[in-house]
Amino acid sequence: MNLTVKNLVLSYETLANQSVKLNQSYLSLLKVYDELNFDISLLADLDQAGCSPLKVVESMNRDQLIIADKFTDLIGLIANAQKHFVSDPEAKKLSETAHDCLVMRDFVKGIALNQLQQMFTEISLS
Amino acid sequence: MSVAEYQDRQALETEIKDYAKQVETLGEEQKDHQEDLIKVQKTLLSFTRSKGFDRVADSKVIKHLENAIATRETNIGTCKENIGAVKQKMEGTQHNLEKSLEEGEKADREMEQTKNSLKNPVKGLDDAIEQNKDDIKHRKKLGKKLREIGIMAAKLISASAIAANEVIGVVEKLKQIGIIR
Repeated sequence: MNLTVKNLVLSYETLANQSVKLNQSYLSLLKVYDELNFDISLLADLDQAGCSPLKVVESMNRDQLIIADKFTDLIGLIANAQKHFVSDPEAKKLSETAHDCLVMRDFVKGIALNQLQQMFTEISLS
Repeated sequence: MSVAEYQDRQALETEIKDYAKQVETLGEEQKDHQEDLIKVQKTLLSFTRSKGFDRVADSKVIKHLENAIATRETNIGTCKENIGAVKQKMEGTQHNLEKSLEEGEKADREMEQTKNSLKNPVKGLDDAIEQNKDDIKHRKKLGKKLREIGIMAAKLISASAIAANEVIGVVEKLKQIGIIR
């Protein structure tokens, strides 16, 4: 496999890995929400200890936008590379990676952080 | 390869290298929220553990239950009011739990769909799917117990007299799910 194509695939894998980690953080925060739902006084205790789940959601929101943008950039780079590598195995690998980029970009965009942010806000006001 | 083609490809290679560096830096930035999240989880754990045996998970709920027990024989109206307050509180908790259940189920669908659409599997996604399915099951179980508590409380509120062990029954159920410890 050509080194340039390999590098592109490697970047995709790094980005996909970061997407899964962001999703993992989202799922963990959903469990934090469950705990606070049982005892809302813990939220004030957390704030006092200088760690707020809402702050975490906010920085995840930024990461979500950046990762989605990076997938868009990568899709452009792959389209460009596809002009140079028209035969297999490179062509096949690029086309597969382009497809997976689109799937993973949708996945990252679909992580319901705004909803979670709203849930934390509502619970803190109750 | 023509000179133009060669230059074009050189430019692309440089661009790809620069891009790879940017993606790496992005990973570093993501560590910020991950560290903050771990801090939230650890602090939460230390609160629920350090306050230990006497920790009242929800002090308002325990206050209402104590009042209900204290007024059961002397003032049935006040007793019922307090049980009603616990019922209302639990309905709020159940409502919130249904929201996180709904979000968990939505995440499950998204992850399954992603997994099935990918040409090449992504590391860690299967584990996340499995873990999330367990969390969904757990939420459903808790939701069922909260509904049972609601039914028990409603029965007490409509009864003409309340036996001591009936209030204790609500207390025990609340203990089972960890609302009070």
